[in-house]
Amino acid sequence: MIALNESHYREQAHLAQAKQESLPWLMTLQQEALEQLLAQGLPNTRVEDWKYTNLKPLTKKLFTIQPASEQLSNITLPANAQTLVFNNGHFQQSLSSLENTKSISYHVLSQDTLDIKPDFTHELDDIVATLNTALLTDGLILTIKENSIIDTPIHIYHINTAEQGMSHLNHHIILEKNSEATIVEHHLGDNDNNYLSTIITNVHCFDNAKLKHYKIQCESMQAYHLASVRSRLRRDSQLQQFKFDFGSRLARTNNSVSLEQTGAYCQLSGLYITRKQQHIDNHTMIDHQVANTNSDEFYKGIIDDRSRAVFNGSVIVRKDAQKINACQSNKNLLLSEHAEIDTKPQLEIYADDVKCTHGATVGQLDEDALFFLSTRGIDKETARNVLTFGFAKDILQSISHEELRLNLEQLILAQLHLEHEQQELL
Amino acid sequence: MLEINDLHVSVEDKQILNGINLTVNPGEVHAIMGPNGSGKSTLSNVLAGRSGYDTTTGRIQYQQQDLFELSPEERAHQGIFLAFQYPVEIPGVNNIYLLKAAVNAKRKANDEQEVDAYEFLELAKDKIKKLGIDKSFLYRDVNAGFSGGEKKRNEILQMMLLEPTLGILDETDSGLDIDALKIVAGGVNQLRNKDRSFILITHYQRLLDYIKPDFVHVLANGKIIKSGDYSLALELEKTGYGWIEKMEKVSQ
Repeated sequence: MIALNESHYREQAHLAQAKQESLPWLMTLQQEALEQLLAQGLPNTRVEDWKYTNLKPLTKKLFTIQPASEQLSNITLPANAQTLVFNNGHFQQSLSSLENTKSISYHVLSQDTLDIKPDFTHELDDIVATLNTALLTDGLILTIKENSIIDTPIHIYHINTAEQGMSHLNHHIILEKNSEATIVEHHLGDNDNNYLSTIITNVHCFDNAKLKHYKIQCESMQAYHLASVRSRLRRDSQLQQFKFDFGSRLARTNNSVSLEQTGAYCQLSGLYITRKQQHIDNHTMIDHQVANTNSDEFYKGIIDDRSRAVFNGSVIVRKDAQKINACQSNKNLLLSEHAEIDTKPQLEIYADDVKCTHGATVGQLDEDALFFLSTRGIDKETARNVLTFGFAKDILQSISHEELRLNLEQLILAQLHLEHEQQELL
Repeated sequence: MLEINDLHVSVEDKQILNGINLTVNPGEVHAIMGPNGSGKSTLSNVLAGRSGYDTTTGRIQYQQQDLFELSPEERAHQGIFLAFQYPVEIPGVNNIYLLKAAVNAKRKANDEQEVDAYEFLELAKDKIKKLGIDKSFLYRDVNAGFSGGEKKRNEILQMMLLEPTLGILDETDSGLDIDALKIVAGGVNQLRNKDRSFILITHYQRLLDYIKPDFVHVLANGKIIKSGDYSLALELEKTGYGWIEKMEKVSQ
C-alpha cells in the first residue's frame, strides 16, 4: 500500500465534514471512509487492478480543499443551455441555469435540507470511492421525473481553478420510469494547475428510461482525475455512454454497468487521446445479471509521445443469464515509439446461450495511406493528422445531437492540433 | 520530359531494376509490359517517390530536374500522377475533400488561385458524369467499401481532376470488366494531348486496344529487353512471355 499523510488527511476530512453538518448520516459515513482510507492507504502497483497505474505521485503533494473562485475568467459557459456548475468541488448556484420544474428536480448536498437520502451503500467498495467519500466536498442528486422527455442536454460543469486544490464530488442521476434525457459532464481545469479531482457518478435508469450520458474529461495536463461511474439499468432501459479523455496527467476511471433486469441495454463508447507524459486508465465492467440483456462497447485510443494508456474491459455474464449479446472492441493507434498501451479484455461467462465477441488491436498509421496522400500533393504533417482524425472519427458517428457532435469534433481536432486548412479534408 | 538513364534499384539488398533506359517526350504514350516480378511496379513506385527503394546507380531527369531531389508531394505538384494498382482505403476521410485538397495543394504550389467548394463541386460533377460514377461516390470515405472497379475509377477521377503532365497507370486494367475498362480508357484518351504523356504499366495487351500507345516496351528481370510500336503488344498477346525466358537463357 501507499501510505497517506495522516494528519493532513484528517484535517482535510474535518473541513469536508463540517460542510455536511445538516446530514449526520453522511458525516458518519465520511468518518468511516476516512478511517478505512488511512488504514488501507492507496493501492500500489502490486495490486492487480492497479498494475499499470501508479498512484504514488499523488501522495507527493498535499492537496487541500479550497473555496470556489471569485471569478471564472478562463471559461465561457454556453448561453441558452441548462447548466449546473461546480467550482473547486462546490456548487455555484449563481452560475447555474437549470431550474426545478415538474420534469426535473435537483438537490445539492451542501445547500439543501435533503428530504431524500441518496443511495450511498456502495461508497466504501473501492478505493476511489472511499477517498472521495472521506473528503467529499459536494454532490448532486438530479432526477428526471416519470414520463418526462428532456430534449435539451443538461450540462454539468466541474471546473477546477485552484493550484494544489482538491475537489471530491458524488453525483446521483436518476431517470424515473419512461423518462429520457441527455446529460453531459464536463471536467475542466485551469492551465497547467496541479490538483486532485475525484468524482463518483451514480446513474439509475428505471424501467424503460433512456439516458445519453457524456463525460468529457478536459482537466489540466497536470491534474489527477480519479473517477467511478456506476450505472444500474432496470427493465428495458437504455444507456448510451460517451466518454472522452483528453486532459489530466493521470486519469483513472472505474466504469461499471449493471444490467439488472430483462431488456436492459448499454452502449459504451470511449475515446482517449494522450500526449506528453499523460497516463489514462479506463477500467470498464459490464455485468449481465439477468437474461435478455445486451451490451456494446467500443473504445478507441490515440497514444502519442511518452504517454501511456490502459484499457481493461471486463464483461460478466451471470449463471442463468441466457440470450445475451455482448460485443467489445478496443482499437489503439500508437503514434510514437515511446508511447505505450496496455489493453486487456476479460470475459467471465457462466451461462451457455450467449454471444460474446471481443477484440483489441494496436496499430500505427498506415504507411500506404501516407504515401498515397503524399502522391496527391498533401504534405506529410497534414497527411498524418488527417489519418489520425479519420481513425477517431467513427466514435462521433453515433452521436445524434448535432451541436454536441460538432463541439466534440472541434475538441478532437484541437487535441490533434489540426489547422483549419487540414480540417477541410474531413 | 522524362529521361531514365541506366536505373538500378534494389529493395532490401535485392536487385529489382537492372539498368532501365527510357525517354518519354511530351504527348507520348508508352506502354510497359512484362511478366509478374519483372519490376514494373517498382518502376512506378520509384517514379512516384515511395520510400524503401535504393537507387544504386542511374538517374532520372523530369522536366530538366533531378527527380530524386523532389519529395512525393513536390512531384505531384509538378504534374506527376500515379494511379495505384491497389488503391488504399482511408476510412474517416471524405472523398470529395481529399480530391479538393489534392487539387488545391497543386494549385497553391503553382501560385494558382485555389478553387472554392462550389467551383470544385461543379468541376467534379462534370468529371464523374464522364466516368459513369454516381454522385454519392464523392461523399463516401476514400475507397472505403468501394468495389475493385470503383476504386480504379476513383483513381482516374483523381487523375482527371489533377490534369497531370505525366500520368503513370500501374496495372489500372487489372480486375476491371470490359465496361469499366472502356470507361477508364476513355478517361485517359480525353486527357491525351500534345503536352501530356502517359506511362501505362500492364500485364495484358487488352488495355492497349482502347488506349493506343506510341511505344511498347517489354520489361523482364529489371531491364527493357525489347521496344517497338503497338504491333509488339499484339505479338506478345500471341506468343506470351515464354520466349523471354528462352532469350534470357540464351544470353546467359
